[in-house]
Amino acid sequence: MKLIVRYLRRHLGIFLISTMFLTMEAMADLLQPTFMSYIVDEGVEQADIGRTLFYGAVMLGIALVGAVSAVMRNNFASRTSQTIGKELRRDMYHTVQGLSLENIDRLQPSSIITRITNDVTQIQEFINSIMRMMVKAPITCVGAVILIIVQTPRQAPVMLVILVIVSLLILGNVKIGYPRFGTVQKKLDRLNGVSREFLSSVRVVKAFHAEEEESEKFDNASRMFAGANTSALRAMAIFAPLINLTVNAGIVILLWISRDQRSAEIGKLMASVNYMTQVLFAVTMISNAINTAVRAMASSARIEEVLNEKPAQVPPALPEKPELRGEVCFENVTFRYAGAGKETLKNISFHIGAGETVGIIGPTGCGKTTLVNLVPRFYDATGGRITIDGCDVLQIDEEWLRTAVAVVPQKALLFSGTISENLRWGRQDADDRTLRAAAHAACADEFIEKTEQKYNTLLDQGGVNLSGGQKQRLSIARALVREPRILILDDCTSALDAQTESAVLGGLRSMAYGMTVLLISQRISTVMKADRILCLDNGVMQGYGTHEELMQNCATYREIYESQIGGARNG
Amino acid sequence: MAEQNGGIPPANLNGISRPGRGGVVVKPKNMKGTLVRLWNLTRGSRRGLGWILILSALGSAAAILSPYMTGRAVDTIAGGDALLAVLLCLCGLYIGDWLVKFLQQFLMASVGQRIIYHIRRALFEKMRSLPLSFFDRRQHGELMSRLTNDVDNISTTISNSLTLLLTYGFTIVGILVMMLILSPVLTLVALVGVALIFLLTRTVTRHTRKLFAAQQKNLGILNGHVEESISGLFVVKAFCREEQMERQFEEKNDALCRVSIRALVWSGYLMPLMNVINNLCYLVIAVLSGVLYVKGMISDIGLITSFLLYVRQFTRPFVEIANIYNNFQTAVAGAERIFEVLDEEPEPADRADALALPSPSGEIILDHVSFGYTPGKTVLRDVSLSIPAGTQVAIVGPTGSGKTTVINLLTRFYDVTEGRILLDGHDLRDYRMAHLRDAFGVVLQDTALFADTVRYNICYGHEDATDEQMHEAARTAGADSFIERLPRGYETVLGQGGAELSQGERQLLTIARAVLANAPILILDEATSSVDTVTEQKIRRAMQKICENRTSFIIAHRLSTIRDADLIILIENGQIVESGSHDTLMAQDGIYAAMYRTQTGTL
Repeated sequence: MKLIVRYLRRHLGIFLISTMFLTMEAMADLLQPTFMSYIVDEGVEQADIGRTLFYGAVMLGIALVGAVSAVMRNNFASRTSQTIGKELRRDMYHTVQGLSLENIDRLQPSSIITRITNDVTQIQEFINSIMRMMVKAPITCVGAVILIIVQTPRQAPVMLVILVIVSLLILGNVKIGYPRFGTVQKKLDRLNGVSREFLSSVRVVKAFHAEEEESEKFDNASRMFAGANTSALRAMAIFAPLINLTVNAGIVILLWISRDQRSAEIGKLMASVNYMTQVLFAVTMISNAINTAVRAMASSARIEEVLNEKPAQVPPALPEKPELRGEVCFENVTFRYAGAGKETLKNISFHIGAGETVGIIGPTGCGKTTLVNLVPRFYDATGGRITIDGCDVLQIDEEWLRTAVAVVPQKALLFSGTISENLRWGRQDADDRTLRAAAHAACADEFIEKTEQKYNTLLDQGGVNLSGGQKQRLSIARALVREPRILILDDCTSALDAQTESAVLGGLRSMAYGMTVLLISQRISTVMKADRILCLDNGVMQGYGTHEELMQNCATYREIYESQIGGARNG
Repeated sequence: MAEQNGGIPPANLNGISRPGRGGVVVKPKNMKGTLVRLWNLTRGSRRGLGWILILSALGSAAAILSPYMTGRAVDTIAGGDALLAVLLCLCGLYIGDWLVKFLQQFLMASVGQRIIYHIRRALFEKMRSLPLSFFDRRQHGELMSRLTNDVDNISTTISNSLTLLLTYGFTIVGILVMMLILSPVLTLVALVGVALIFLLTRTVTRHTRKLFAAQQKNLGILNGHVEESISGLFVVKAFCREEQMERQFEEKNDALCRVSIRALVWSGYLMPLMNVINNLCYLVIAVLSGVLYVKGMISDIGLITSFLLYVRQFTRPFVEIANIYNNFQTAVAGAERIFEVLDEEPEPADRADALALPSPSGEIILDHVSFGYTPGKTVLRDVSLSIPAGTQVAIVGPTGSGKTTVINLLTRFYDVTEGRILLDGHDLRDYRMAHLRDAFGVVLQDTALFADTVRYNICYGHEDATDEQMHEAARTAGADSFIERLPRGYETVLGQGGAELSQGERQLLTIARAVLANAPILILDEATSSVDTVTEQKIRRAMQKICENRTSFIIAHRLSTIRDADLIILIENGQIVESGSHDTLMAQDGIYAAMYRTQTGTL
C-alpha cells in the first residue's frame, strides 16, 4: 500500500485534478434525478411546458458538464494509472538488472517475470479503480443520502437502516467469500500441477500404461476444483440477490411512507427511488473495489520485495582498471551459496599462467561451474581471494573485468534478433570479418551459410528455431567475438557429437591462441590435452597438474580415466 | 458515470461489464455446429440447465413489471386509492425476483461446475488416449491452458452470457411491449434514442478495438522481452549488456504505455456520451408527455412515471447484449479449440482378434522398416535387423540419426510407415497394446518423476507391488543407499520432477522403476547421459545385472558405456551403416572405430 501511495504522490497534481473532475462528475450524477423530479412535479404535472423545457435544459446542461468531467477524469486517470504502471515496470527492471545472481537465485527468474508483468497490471487496474470507484462511490453514497434527507427528511431513517443492512451484507459476503476463493486458488494450483506432470511425463505414462492412474489423479483434482468453485459461487448466490432485495424493500417502504403525500411530491418520490439505486450501485462498486484492493495489496507486496532487494555484491569503492593479461590465481578460496548448509568449494588454491589452458573435470555437482563463476564475479568467494594479474577481482571495475572474461555457459542462451546481432553481444563494434572468423572457429559457419538469410537470420525467442548443437556453437562464437583475455568454456559442447566437438575444439585452439582458457568437461578426452588439469570432487581440489602427473598421484582422476578410457586399452 | 437505471433495480449487478473495453473479439469458425456440440456435452445436466433458463426468463419479469407497478403506486398515492394492495403486489414481485435470482445463481453454481467438470474430464480422457505424436507436435504450456483456463472460461462465459442474454432479451421485449401499451408515440422516441446509442457504440468500438488489439500486441512484445532478458540474465551480465537491455526495455515500455493510454481514453468517451443521449431522450419524452397530458391525450400522471422509468431501463440491455455477444463469440471460438483436441485421432484401438502376449521371449525382427514423423521426411529408411531373444543391443550414431526413433517404433509410440516389426514372430500391431507396453521396461532420456513419494515413483504402473519387491528393485538399481539417506526413506515426498535429487539419483530411481516392472525386454535411452562417469559405472553395473537373459536396447552417446554389448548398431542418416560386436567393428576399422578413437582419445 505504501508503494502505491509513493508512486501516486509523484503524480499528485494530475491525481488531484482527476479527483476534482470526479467530484464534478458525481455531483452531476446526483443532481440529475432532482431535476428530473422537478420536470415531473413542476413541469409535466402542472402542464407547464415552459417549466419542463427550462428544467430540461438545466438537466441537459448538468448532464453535459457531467459528461465532460467524466471524459476528463477518464483521461487523467488513464494517464496516471498507465504511467505509474510504466514507472513500476521500469524501476523493477532497473533494479533487477543491477542485482547479483545470488539475488536472482533467491527470487527465482520466473517469479520476477510474473511480478514485472502480472503484478504490475494488477496495480494498474487498482489505481484505475481507485479513481473510478473508490473515490466516486463514497461521494455518490454520501451525496445521495444527503439529498434524500434534505429533500424528503422523513425518509432518512429508512435510508439509514437500509444502508446499514446492505453494508452488513457486503461485509458478510467478504468474510464468507474470500476464504472460499482462496481455496479455489489452491485447488486450481493442484489441477495445474497434475496436468503439467501428465503432459511432461506422457511417455512414461504410456510406457507403463498407467493412463488409468493418471485419469484418477486428474479426476480427483478437477472434482475438488469444481467443488471449491461451487461452494464459493453459492456463497455469492446468497448475498448478491439479498442486497438487491434489501434495496427494493427500501423502495416499497418509501412508497408506503409517502402514502399521504400529495401529488406535488411524486417527482421527489421518484428521485428518492433513483437515489436509492445510486446508493446501491455505489455500494456494489465499493465491494468490487475491495476485491481489487485485496489483490493489489498482495501484488504490491511482491513488487516491493523486488524493489527493496539490495544487490548481494558491493562494487569496489575505487574500481581499478588494470591491464589484464590473464594470469589467474585462486588463494584458499571457499564458497557457500547463500542459504546452503555446506560449502560448495573448500580451500581451493591454484595458479594459471597467462595464456595457459586448464581443463576442469569432476563428477556432476562437484562445483566446477561454481568455481569458474567466481572469476568474472558472478558470485563472490565467501573465503580466500581470487586475483587476476595480481589484482583482487573484488577491486576491479565490473565492466572492465567482464569485458576481459568471456563465458560460454552450459546452457546456450540466445536472444531474439538476428544471428549477427547475437554474435555482436560479444563486441558491439565487431566487423563482419570478425563475426565470420568466430563463427568459423566455432564450426557455426556451415549451418549459418545454409540458412536463407545467413547472418541476418532472425532467431525466435531463446533461439527455439535452432537445434541444441547449433545454439551451443553460436554461443561459443559469441564469446570468441569478444576476444577476451580469459575464456571460460563450461561444458558447452555436450550437444555435439564427437566429431563436431573435436572440430570445434580445434577451431578454438587456433582462435583462442594466447587466451587463458578454463575448460570444463565431463569427458576426459576433452580435457586431457590441456596444459594442466584441475580435478574436483565434492568441492575439494583432488589434484592439479598435467595428465601424466594426475595419473600418477590423483586417485579420483585415475578413477574417472579408468571408467571412460581405461577399458579401451585392455580391450 | 454511474449507470442510471432510473427506477427499480432488478438488473443483475454482478455482471457489470464495461462497454468498449473488451476490444479483441475472436470470431468462431462454425458457431452453430460448435453450439450443438456444446449442448451435447451437457448431457446429465440438462434438467438443471432447463431450470436455469426458465429462471432467467422469470428473472426479467421484475424488470418488466416493476416500473408499471411503481407507476400504479404513484397513481394510487396521487389518487389516494388503496395503496396497500399495489404495494403488496410490488412486494411480492420483489420477493419473487429475489427468489428467482437466488435460485438461479445457486443452481448455476453447481450445474455450471458440473458441466465444466464433465468437459474437462472428457478432454483429459481424450488426451490420455492420444498417440505420442500429438504431444510431440504441441507445446505443453498451450495444452495445459486448454485443460485448465480454457475449459473454465468457456463454460462460465457461455453459461453466464447465455442466461444474461436470455434475461436481457426478455427484458427488452417485455419493456417494449409495456411501453407500446402505455404509449406508442413515446415508444417511438425511445427507440430513436436506442438507435442513436447503437450508432455511437459502433463508432467508438470500431476505433477502440484496433487500439486494444495494438495494446495486446505491445504487451506481448514487452512480456517477451522481460521473459528472455530475465531468464537469460546470466548471459546479459556476462556480456555487460545491462544498459542496452534497459534501453530496449524502456522503448517497449513507452510504446505500451502510449497505446494503452490512447485505448483507455478513447473507450472512456462511450459512457458519458451515452449518458447524454439518454438524458436527451428522457427530456424529449418528458416534454412530449407533458404536451400530451395537457392536450388530454394521456389520462394519468402514473403512466408518465411508469414510462419514464421504462425509458431509463430500456437502453442498458441493448448495450449489454452487444457486449455479452462479443464475449460469447470469443468463448465459442475457445470451445472450438477444445473440440479440436476432442476430434483428434486416438491411438488405434486393439483389433477384436488382437493377440495376448503373456510371456514374450524377446525375439525381434525389423523387416524393411521405414518411418517418418511427417510425410515426405523419412527418418528411418528400409531398416532390416534380426535380434535373437536375450541379445544386448546397443544403438549408436550421431545426434538426429534416428536412434530414439527405433525405440519409439518398438514401443508403438509411433507406428511404422512401411515394413513391419515382429516380436516373437508376430507383427507388433497384432498384439494388444496394453500387453505390448507391458513387455517393455523403459528408462527414458528425460527422467520423469512425479511429485509424490519415492515409493509411488518406483511402483509407478504397478501399485500392487509389495514392499519386498520395491526394496529389491531399488537394491538392484543401486538406488537403495541414497533413498535410505532421505529424511523419510521411501515415504519421502519428492518435489516437482524430483527437484531435490541429483540427476544421477533421479536416473537411478527411474531405473528402479523399470526393474520393478520386470519386463522381458528393456530399453535404456541415453539413461546415463547426464551422470558423471563414476555414478555411470554404478548404473552400468546395475544394468548389467538386470539385462541378463533379457533382450535389451541401449542408446548411448558415450561409446565406452556400450562396449560389452552383444550387438552394436551404428545408425547414420536413418540407415544401419555398421553392425557387429565391439571387437568386430574395431577390426573393421570403419566409422565406429574412428568415433571410438576420437571419443576416448586413444590412437
